[in-house]
Amino acid sequence: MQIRFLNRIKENSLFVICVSVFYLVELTYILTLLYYFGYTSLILSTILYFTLFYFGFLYLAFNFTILWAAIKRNFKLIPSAIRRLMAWLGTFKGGLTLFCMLIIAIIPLLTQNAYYLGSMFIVAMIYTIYAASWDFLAGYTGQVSFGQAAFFGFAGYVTADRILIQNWPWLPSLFFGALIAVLISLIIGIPTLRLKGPYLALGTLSFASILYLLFAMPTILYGSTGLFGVPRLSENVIIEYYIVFIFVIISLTIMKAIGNSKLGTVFKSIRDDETGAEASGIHTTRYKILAFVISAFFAGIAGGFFTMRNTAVSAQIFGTTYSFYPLVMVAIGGIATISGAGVGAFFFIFLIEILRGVADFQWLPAGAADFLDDALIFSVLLILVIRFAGAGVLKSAIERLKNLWDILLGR
Amino acid sequence: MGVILEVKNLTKKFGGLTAVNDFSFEIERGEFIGLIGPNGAGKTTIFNLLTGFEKPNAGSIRFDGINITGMSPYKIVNLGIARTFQLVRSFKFLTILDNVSVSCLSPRGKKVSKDIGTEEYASSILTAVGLVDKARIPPIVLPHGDLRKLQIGKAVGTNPQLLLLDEPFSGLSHEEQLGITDLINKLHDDGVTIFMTGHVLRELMTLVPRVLAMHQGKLIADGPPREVAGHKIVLEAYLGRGEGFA
Repeated sequence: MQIRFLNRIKENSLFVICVSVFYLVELTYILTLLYYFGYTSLILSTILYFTLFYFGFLYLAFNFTILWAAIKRNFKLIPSAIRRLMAWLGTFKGGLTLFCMLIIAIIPLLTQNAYYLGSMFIVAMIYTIYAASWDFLAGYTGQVSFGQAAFFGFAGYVTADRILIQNWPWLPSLFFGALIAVLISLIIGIPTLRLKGPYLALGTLSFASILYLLFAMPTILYGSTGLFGVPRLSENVIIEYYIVFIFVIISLTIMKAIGNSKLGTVFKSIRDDETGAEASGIHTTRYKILAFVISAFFAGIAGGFFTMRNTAVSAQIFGTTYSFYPLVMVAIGGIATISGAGVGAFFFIFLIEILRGVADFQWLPAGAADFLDDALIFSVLLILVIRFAGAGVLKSAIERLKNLWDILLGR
Repeated sequence: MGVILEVKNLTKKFGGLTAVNDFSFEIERGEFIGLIGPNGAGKTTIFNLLTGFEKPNAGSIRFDGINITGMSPYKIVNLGIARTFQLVRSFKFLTILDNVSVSCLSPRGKKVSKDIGTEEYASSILTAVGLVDKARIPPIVLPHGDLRKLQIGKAVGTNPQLLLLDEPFSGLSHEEQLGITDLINKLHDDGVTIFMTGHVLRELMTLVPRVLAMHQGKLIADGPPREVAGHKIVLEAYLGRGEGFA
């Protein structure tokens, strides 16, 4: 029975990713314990870890067996994967992606201005992960969630709690926050994913609103002031920049890879025709929950980074604003593209910044100005995008660029 | 051979309307059987009940010895009943190959596709239905006849024992109908039990050796096409609506 189980699991290349992530979490967990007990109590922490949580070495050894078998099976795929990657980089789209990545990678060399790097580039990159997580759910699986802030915010709170109150290092805190977001997504997803279309949107929105009210209460949880004084990733903004940059690349690659895999095909079939997918023998609810969980994980990662960037978190993070940000960004960049989320996020953040400089709302009563400039930009932008670029700016921009490129090369 | 599908006293009501009324029949393994009846007789409702898209008010359905009454559609598909729809359905932003791959990725389809690979299995199905040269294009650009073939391909991907075809000929030209007929015959020769509906009888009557006729939710005749076509109530049901047998 064990052999059959092994065989079934080995076939799944996604499994390698899952187990690897699992090991990362385990590793961070051990490190956290070490952090607590100090290096002198290494043995104690190890004993605690193995006995209390994972029933000893046998479990770990079993895991290693599966992981090794899976890696061996997929090992022969690596050369062809590299070949395909190189071929892709040679194409126009691949080259453009590489070029954009390089541009973003060298930004800190061009400017060391902490405001530009911190409040614009890093924030835009965090929003990229966040918007991409929404795009994964809506673009690939067709499930429109208006409550993405529930995962974003909850992970933000949990990360802040771990760092501030439990004194954990940032990496385990971040993953812990994301895992709790996954848990929340199960609690929200299992009842709401039976709903369809606008009902799902409203259902998820109401969950986010409940969380907002809960966290805004003055006496329970963290009170109406929330948590503040969360340390940043690093004192040095450039180091922070590169940490977030690496996470953006990894997150987007994973989401894109899932989208292009067989699992992604099943997700897209649910998006295109849920009844048809069911008639093809697909357990649609299970796959929708899986997509929800993956989306929540990345939204959680983004939420953790966001809290650390802002050094504070309050109930505002569950507000509808944060639920609609990814929606607008994805609408700008183009749905079901993942990378479009990045284009949308950067576009959005920079536009707000430019308009803040230009627009003068001094004549408005205090407080109204803040609301108005965000809301105005939101609505005007959304209307313009829907009117002139229904499929998002990314696709048409790439097409135009490619035409230009062809002309330049004289094709 | 043995009975593959056993339907007993099946009843389905929509509000005051009884769409299927005390309907009982059996299908033998490997049979090729048709279901006829005028528009609105309840043929599609029968299919929806058999595949779990509707829950019956009364009665039972047994497939291969298992009681499948009220089961969810995906469970029924994975037991081995696949269906096509009267109105063509497709995953319109996926390629033709991926449309079929989805079925091959269902638990039942995987049993076959895991040894030869999903893509290879899907390609072999596309070869069988005659769409292999269009594997990489999306279904929105396909003509209606090819969409009907794709429907059948998607159903075959789940490796069914019993295939329910809902109006496989509707809206097709004569040549396209012949192509689908060949395809269905080929599937039947491969051992798939086939149960199909039609409200225009010409193609159906020449194809199947046994026909069920229904009218206003009730089974009114069961037998070889020639016999059923001569049946008094069947004639009334059709002639009453001004439709005749060709």
